[in-house]
Formats: sequence, structure tokens, C-alpha cells
Amino acid sequence: MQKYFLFFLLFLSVLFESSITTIPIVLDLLIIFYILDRKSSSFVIAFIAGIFLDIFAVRNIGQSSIFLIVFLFILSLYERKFEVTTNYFILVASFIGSLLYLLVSFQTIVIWQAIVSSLFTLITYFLLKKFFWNESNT
Amino acid sequence: MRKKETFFLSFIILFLFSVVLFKTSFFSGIQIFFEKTTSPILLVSKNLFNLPLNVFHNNELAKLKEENLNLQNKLLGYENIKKENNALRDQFNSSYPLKNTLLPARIIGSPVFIPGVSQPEFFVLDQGAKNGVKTGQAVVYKDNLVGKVQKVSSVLSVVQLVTNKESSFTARSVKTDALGVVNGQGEGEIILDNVLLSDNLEISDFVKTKGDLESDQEGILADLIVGKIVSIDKKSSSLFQVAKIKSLLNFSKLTTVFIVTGYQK
Repeated sequence: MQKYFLFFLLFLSVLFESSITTIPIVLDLLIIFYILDRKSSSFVIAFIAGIFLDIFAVRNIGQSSIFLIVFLFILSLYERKFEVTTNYFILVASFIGSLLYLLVSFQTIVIWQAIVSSLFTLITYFLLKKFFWNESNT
Repeated sequence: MRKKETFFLSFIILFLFSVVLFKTSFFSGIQIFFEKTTSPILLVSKNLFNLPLNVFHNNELAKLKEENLNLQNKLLGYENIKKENNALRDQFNSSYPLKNTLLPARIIGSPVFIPGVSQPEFFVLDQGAKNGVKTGQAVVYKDNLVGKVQKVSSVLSVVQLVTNKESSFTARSVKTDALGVVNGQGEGEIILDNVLLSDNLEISDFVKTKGDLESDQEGILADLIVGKIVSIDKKSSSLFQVAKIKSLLNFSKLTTVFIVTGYQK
């Protein structure tokens, strides 16, 4: 049930990011999803989300998928060295991810958007973990 | 170990598939289908989100602004006719106004940093290559330049607004005929740069496009309104003077624009 709720949130975030806001909320939710779930299915979800994002935002198909998949893979590599479920890791990972994503998508570095994005990730992670996510799902 | 292998395998397969999609048009048929079916959803989600913001929208003020825009357009039209009459009378210059072929397009997406606060820098429209839209075509609203088509797919297109940081084109002031380059600064700001110090600029003067039509009829037609000069920065120590321009349009409130798909003499 929690997973379906996350899928629904992800779908909404794809719509929002392509029509309303430039904050990379799809990336933020994928980071949260990976940290909560930690399965290879995260790559499949990132791939599909990236495809839809590119279609709605009229970008080259595959551009967002490549970035999201590679970023999640890098996160999975850090999982062995750092504790990824800490607030600091989530803040730093989403900040760096947002900066790079904005650079790739809009060819501009926007520090404020990356800061807001990382705060959004942290708050959403906290809320989802506290109220919606059951540890038995992992 | 098995989990690591699954991870790495999933990553490699999906990464390679993404690269194949990026490099080829393998997905184009399905892309068209999704664009057609989801553009109404995008429009609905945009309108739904803007609904609470529009509650505070003053209708009376909006009507007055619209009327003001129409009157300013008419005023500039009369200025143009006056100039053309003088030119024809003096036999120095004559211009044949080109009739535009306009394609109406709804704005289904205008992503910004903070919705309702930040100003958009590009629009996603519900018209694409199938309707004759090409990159480089101008987008207008009531003789005001909105921007230029930057990317096109079969059913959708992306317009780079005049306020976008990458937007740049030549323009001239109406009263003093000073020539300059209009550069977008982001966050709804535009400047008229590279104006010679010897040229005069006046506050409240209008700025119009100079025109950069190419042989294939793409580009920006001349005499489209860019905005009004609100401040001038002129220093004798600088090479050029710069003016800040305010567009007559409120880009965040636009719902429909027109793509100039061709010109007829």
C-alpha cells in the first residue's frame, strides 16, 4: 500500500515538475524511495519516471532517465561507505543531485533551487517515514 | 553478493536502454501517443494548481490592464502608420507589412521556481511539428513578442520567453530609433543593451523588434512590441548605454499565445 502511495506521489511529481515548478521533485522522491526501499526496482522506477518527464517537458527522450539511473547507482555505491538514512546524507545527496540535475536540464546553476529541493527532500522523507512507511516493506 | 549482482545488472540494462532511447527515435511513436493523451492532463493540473492563486486575482484590475494593453497597442499602431505615411510622402522608405499566419496555442506548462511568485522563462505549448511549428518561429500575443520556439516535438513545443537569460535579439526604440540588443535577465527582467552613447533613449518610450526574418520565413518579424523603457543607465565612461525594459505582458497570467508559422506579402 505504501509503495502504491509512493508511485502515486511520483506520478504527481512528474506532472508538477513538467508544468508548474522547476524544482527537481522527481529526483527528490526517487532519492527517498531508494533510501526507504533499497531494491533494484528503484532503477526501473527511475527509468520510467525519467521517460515521462522527458515526454512532458519536451526534452530528448532518455536524458532524464540516464541522469536519474546514474545518480541512484552512485547513491547505492555510497551505501556501503556511509549510513544513507541520516538527515545529513539526505540533505547533501539531494543538494548535489539537484544542482547537477538543474545544470544538465537548464544549463544553469541555481543554488537556491537546490537548497529548497534538499529541504523538501528531508521534510518529505521525515513525513513519509513517520506516517506512511512500514519497515517491513524493505 | 546476489543482491549486488542484481543491482549492477539492473543498472547496466536500464542505462544502456536509456542511452539507446536518447540516441535514436526508437520511442517516437509511443512518445506521440503519450504527448497527445497527457497534454490535457498537464493543462488541467496547471489550471488546478493556479486556481487558489486566481482566487486573489482582482478581475477589475485584470480588465483594466487588458484594456490598457489594447490601447497601447493601438497607439503604437498609429505611430507606425504616421511614420509610414511620412516615409512614403518623402519617398525615402516604404515597407510592405507582411501578414502573419498565426496558430493559436494553449500554454500547458510554465514551470517556475516558486509558482505564483517567480516569473516563467519558458512555456510548453500544445502545438507541435504536426501543426507546422518549427524551431526559431516567433510567438506573439496581440502584437507583443512573447518569445521564440526553442524545441519542437510532434505535438508539443517549448517557447523561450524574451525574459529568458538566453534570449537575445535586435530591437529599436520607437521615438528615438535607437538600435540595441534585447537580452533577457531572468525573473521577468529585460534589458536593451549595446545602445550607442550618441543615441538617445527616453523613459516610457516603447521598444520594438528590428526583425531578423530568414529566407525560410523563420525568425522574428519587425515592429513587434518588446516593452517599455523604465530606466536608463548611461555613463560616459562606458562604451554603451543600457536601458531596463518592462514587458507589457504578464507572462504568468497568459493562457493562450499565437505562433507565427508563416508570412504572406
